[in-house]
Amino acid sequence: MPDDAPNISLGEGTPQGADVPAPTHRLSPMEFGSLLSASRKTLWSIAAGVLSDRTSADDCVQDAAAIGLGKLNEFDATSNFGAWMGQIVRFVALNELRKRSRSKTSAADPEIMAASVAAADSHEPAPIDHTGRFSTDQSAFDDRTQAALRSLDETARICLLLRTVHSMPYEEISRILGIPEGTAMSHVHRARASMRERLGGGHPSRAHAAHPTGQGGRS
Amino acid sequence: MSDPRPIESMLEEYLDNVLSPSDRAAFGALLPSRPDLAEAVALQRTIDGSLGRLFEPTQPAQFTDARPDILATIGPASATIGTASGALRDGVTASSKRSTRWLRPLALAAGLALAAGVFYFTQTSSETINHIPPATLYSRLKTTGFVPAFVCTTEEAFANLVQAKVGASLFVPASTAGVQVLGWAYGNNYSGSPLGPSTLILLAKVDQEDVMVLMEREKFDRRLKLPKESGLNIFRRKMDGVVMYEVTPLDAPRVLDAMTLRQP
Repeated sequence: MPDDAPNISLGEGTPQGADVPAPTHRLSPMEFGSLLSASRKTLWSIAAGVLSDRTSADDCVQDAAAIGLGKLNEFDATSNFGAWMGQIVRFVALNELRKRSRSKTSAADPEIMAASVAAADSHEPAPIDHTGRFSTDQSAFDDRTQAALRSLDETARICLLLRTVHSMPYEEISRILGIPEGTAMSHVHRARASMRERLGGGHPSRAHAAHPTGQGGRS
Repeated sequence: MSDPRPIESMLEEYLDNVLSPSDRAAFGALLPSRPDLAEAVALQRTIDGSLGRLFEPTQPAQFTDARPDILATIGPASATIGTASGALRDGVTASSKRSTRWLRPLALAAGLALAAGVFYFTQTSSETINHIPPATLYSRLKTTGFVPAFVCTTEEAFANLVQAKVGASLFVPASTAGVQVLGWAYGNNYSGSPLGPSTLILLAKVDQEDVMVLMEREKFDRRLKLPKESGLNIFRRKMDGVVMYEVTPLDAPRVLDAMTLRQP
């Protein structure tokens, strides 16, 4: 296990301490590897969601896998493996995030930096014009998407990625993150609206589509 | 529409594909007359596409995808190879920024890492497109009401979208007799694609029949066929580097016949 591994409580079905009864069925390393492989995309997305980038997601999943392997005797194989490992990945990613924030130094006043970023954002052109045509290049838009994603709450980011990139049912998201289905759905809907607002070039209609223009058209 | 709420409040549910089929159909039917809603839908699809590009998981990562059979083989012996784990992992994941953390031998993790080494160097990477049969996609579209996820409100927007996705400025003229273009289905809602990663799924009504047209770059062509029992016909055509398939209950490809290349 890594030296700086977080002290992780593994939630339901994963008792801690000597007084707690052992799991009724334990996974073998082979079963662990198989389940890990099957859950890889989801776990990777949780890591990427917490960290807001993909470059560290592999490392994070690997660290979490090592921790999970070390705690295999605490996992009850009759409970949900994805939820259990998802929780570990989330904790490891959050720990990484905390380490990054501790080591980050800034020569400028953070408030001034934030204001200048916001000002730059407000002058960005709309990514698509009224005919649906890209008005900026794709990689620039992807950069803005990533920046907008970072503005979201960590749980909202994970919900959005699991739903959008993996088309995961809310029932599954709920199980993995330990939140009610309705909450997961609210996170996704609010996150989408927020992203549109930030990326729509300051046109409220693109974000909310709240007022008709009366124009006709074809499909 | 069975939902009494204002149409605007249903936008998120529509984008999320959680409306009932009838509400979804009603919302989709309103889009051509509500450019503001259509723009919000198009913007969201653009954002979704961007998220897909940014956060599509990488190819299987080292030991996390170790094959169970290898694990089973090396599991009992893994304790004896623990001391080799650091060097092995350095070789397997040279790009890792934190490889030194793995230098501490951890018996089982080392076993997994060894499996990863074998697996990593023996497995060839493969395209991750989940190919689904065109008949299955058509059936899923019918099940969900055959309604588009988004629409283009002008021929120009239509051609721009096709150009951006598959590289040719093709469009269906609005004046085509008997053909009503409904809009585009969103591929990710159907857990796969019959052709490639950017396949466009065009929905149309032709003489009141539901017709699906797939458009993709020629290099992703897979010579699609339909089983006889589907009761559908499939027609194939190539234009300007784009391969197109029309899946229709009719005996002739009416949408493909109307497909036009925009002149510069």
